[in-house]
Amino acid sequence: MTEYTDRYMDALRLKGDPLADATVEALFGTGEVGRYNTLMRWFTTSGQALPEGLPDAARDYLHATATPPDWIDWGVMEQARQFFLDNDVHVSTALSFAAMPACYVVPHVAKLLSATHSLAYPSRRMAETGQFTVYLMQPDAFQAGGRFLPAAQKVRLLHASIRRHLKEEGRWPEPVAICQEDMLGGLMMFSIQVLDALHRMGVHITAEGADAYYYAWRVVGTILGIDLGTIPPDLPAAREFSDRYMVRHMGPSPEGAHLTRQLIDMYEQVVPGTLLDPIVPALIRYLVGDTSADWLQVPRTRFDSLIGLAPALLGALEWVEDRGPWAEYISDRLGHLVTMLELSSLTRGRVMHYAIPQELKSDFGVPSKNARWTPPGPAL
Amino acid sequence: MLCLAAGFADVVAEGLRGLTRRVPGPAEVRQELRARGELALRRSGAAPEAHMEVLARRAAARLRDG
Repeated sequence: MTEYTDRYMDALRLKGDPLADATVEALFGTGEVGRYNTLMRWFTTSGQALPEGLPDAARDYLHATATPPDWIDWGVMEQARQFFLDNDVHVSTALSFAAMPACYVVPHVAKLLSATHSLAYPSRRMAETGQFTVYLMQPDAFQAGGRFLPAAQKVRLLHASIRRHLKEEGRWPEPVAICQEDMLGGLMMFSIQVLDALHRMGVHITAEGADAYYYAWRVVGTILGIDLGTIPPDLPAAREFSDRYMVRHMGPSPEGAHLTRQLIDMYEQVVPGTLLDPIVPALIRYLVGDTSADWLQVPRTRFDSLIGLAPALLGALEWVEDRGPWAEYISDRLGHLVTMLELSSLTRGRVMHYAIPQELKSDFGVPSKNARWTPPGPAL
Repeated sequence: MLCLAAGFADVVAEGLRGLTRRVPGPAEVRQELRARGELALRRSGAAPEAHMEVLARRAAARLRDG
């Protein structure tokens, strides 16, 4: 087993994603990014013919990445899909309230997320991640007509373009932004750390389910340009890498606190009324623990001590599910409905396009709620 | 007969006195309920520490030690 020493991890910080980086370099070199974005808007499903007039570099890249890796065990992928179907609400909750704060508690990741334009609008970012996961878990995700691979192809170029922008503008203190170590770190947040959160929420998961869920994310990692040889092969190795990565980098940052505030605000707006608003910060605090929550300036609320009861409530729900197929069916449908509502309230019915940004917004301050426009005072 | 009646009355009165002595006031009821509630919450809500908390403490130590 690979030992995840500081030296090993430091070496990963120097590597980007050569294939996507070269593609983006060529697109910017020939000034064809605009054309790529316009044409790719309508390219959304696998097997669809590539649009006419696509720049050569993009065409070559899209051909090279059009098929899933040949080592995929489709039986395990089906298990992963079942796992996601069974736990969709829980997984979405863990992604929002554990995986996102985990990104924010790594200061350089928080800075990176702050520095990129679309992240000024967290709902868009969440919608993109959410839709990406939903695409992944469709039965036909990798077949002709599936939406996952084209989305992944675009996300990979999006990452490469951010890498290039930050380097060009000299805004990144390290040689490579979104390096292999950070991509692996992100993969850990969406995989093993989501499983950690499910465990903490008291969701019953089987060992096979957990393994399959992790396997699916290994596939995703490869498709998104992570070197397969460096992806931890199983959950024990992932535990090792994830812990090492977090301890190396975790800490407070103004950007992390700012993004967390946005995340909380966004969910408070999604949940109708104000009575349940404090649940969101309480859940984040419960999932990430007090030290991280304090670093992220998650407010303390009156729900903090009550949220510990959540596992008991979930246990009660599962007890109901075990009463019979009808109860399970109804509960699953309700869960699916909640996930869809949660997602559609973010995407507002849009298909997310993962376009390559032509430039990074130089001022990435987000207008605060107080900065509302008010009419000029009376002139007379 | 009179003595019997008086004795009976005395027993009842004694019982009532004892009963009223044992009935707690609203403040005590509240205190008792709150204490029981806290115990119940601690019992059912006692989750182990978040995994992330353990890591954060190690990271904090690492930050302190430079």
